[in-house]
Amino acid sequence: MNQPKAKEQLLEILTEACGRPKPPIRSETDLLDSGLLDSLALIELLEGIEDRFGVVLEPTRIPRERWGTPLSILRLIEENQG
Amino acid sequence: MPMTAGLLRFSESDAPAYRCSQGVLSFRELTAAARRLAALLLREIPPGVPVGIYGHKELLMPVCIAACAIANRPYLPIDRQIPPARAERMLQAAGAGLLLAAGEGFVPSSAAAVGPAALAETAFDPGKDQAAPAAARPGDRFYLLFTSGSSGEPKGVAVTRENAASFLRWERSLLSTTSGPVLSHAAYSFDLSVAGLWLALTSGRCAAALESELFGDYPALFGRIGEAAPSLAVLTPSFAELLLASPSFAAERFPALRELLFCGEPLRAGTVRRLWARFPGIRIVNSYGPTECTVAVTGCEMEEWMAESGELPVGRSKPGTQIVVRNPYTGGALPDGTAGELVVSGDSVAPGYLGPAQGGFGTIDGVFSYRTGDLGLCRDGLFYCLGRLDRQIKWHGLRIEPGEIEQTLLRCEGIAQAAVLPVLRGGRVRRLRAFVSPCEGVFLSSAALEETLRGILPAAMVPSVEVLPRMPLTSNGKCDYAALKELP
Repeated sequence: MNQPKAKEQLLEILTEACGRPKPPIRSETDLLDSGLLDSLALIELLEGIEDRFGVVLEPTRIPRERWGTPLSILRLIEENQG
Repeated sequence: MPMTAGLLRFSESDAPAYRCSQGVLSFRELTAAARRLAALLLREIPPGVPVGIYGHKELLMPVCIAACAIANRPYLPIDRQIPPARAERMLQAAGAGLLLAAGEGFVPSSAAAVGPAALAETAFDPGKDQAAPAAARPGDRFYLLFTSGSSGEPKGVAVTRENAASFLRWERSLLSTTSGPVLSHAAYSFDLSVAGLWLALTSGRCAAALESELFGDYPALFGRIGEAAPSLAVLTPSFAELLLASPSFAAERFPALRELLFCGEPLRAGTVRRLWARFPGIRIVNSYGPTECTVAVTGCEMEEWMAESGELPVGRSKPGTQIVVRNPYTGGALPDGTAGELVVSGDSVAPGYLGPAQGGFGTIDGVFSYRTGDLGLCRDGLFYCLGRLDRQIKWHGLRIEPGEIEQTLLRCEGIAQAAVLPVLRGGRVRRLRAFVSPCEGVFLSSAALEETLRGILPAAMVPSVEVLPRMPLTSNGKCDYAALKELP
């Protein structure tokens, strides 16, 4: 997986899913405690990951903390690819 | 009285009555606790005076609700997502005599309160007296709920015991499952919760509640649903979509789930198809109705031909209820197949709002009715809901008047104009955007305004705020919503 491109794509998906927050989402942005990634955003994120990366994640097998930052989510995607 | 008698039928049963994150109460435990609190209410609160109940899904919530039913005192559920200032106004508008706090977070100044510790002490003390059910009349108020008001103040609706009994009788006839736990996600300040909680309690079924912190935590959420093993879920379409986002929301994982009752938002054919695929043979019932008409007034089972046609009906009107499609301007009745305003009359229509303004309640052709503000039509006895005649929106089934949010902003210091728009995604309201413009020479801070709104409005109604130096206006001098919609 092309790392910089993948990160860019994920940040785009997250930005849309979280309602284009200000300040913008970066690699280390806290998504959970901040409330940015609420249940609606999570649904959109799952759909976006499936569309852009072809990866279908099973959220019931993913501990909540793993959604904590974009970098952490990128690792999730990598782990579940092919 | 059907609700109280229905519940007390099970007072000798050790079967589970209520399940939440704190544990499980049996019918025996719940009814005894409710009767002890009812004794307190009968001593402290005069007949007809409402009792506020604050909390979320705690074990004490259904205990307090049942206590009010037994004591025949109207209950006003206040969910913890409602900020203290708003809760205070609700208690005042209702003329509440007492607040029962099942959870921490709100201490009222306009009414006496019993905190969670004291409440638990009374409710679960075997030495305390248990009240017998108080005499009640069909016209007595059963619960009060507040809905968003476009003029800036939330509107209180009082639903009677007869309204509630009529709804429950019909709900039971609409469903096929008669046993097994009933899963519910709705907060008790949302009347969808009545279809879950009261159905369960009066049928000897366990009411399985889900706390809101579970919604973003799939492992925990699915674990809890698995533990509850419901046969029926009462839910909004948005909640079904949340569950469907996990591929494991399917019959293999939840073999007991046989029936779904939807209300609160438009149900889409795509969602029904996905559910049928994940749960072969599951029975899906769609329903519709405003809070002012006691949870729902139409309902029917979803059938293949309905999903194929693309537009799902909201069902047939319930016994005791009449729905007429009327021209919203002239009030004249319209024929089948012609869209107009859905106007409801009959035994589900609440007596009216608290306070003098009666909005859509009124007499039409000599019959007391409620004009829903929903656009709809009737075809072959089936009703279809097509949208709103005004700006009211639904978010996860919760009713929101953008006007209420705008009026709230306009009451803030230094704001000249305010406009609130929903952002839609996939046909649903994703979030709310507020645009404000400042008075001459005033500096406005988005962050500060959002913080202020969080202290006034329920969480679901807090928009993101954007400050515009100049508000685009129409030639009438009103906010130009079309132009605002185009802003990135």
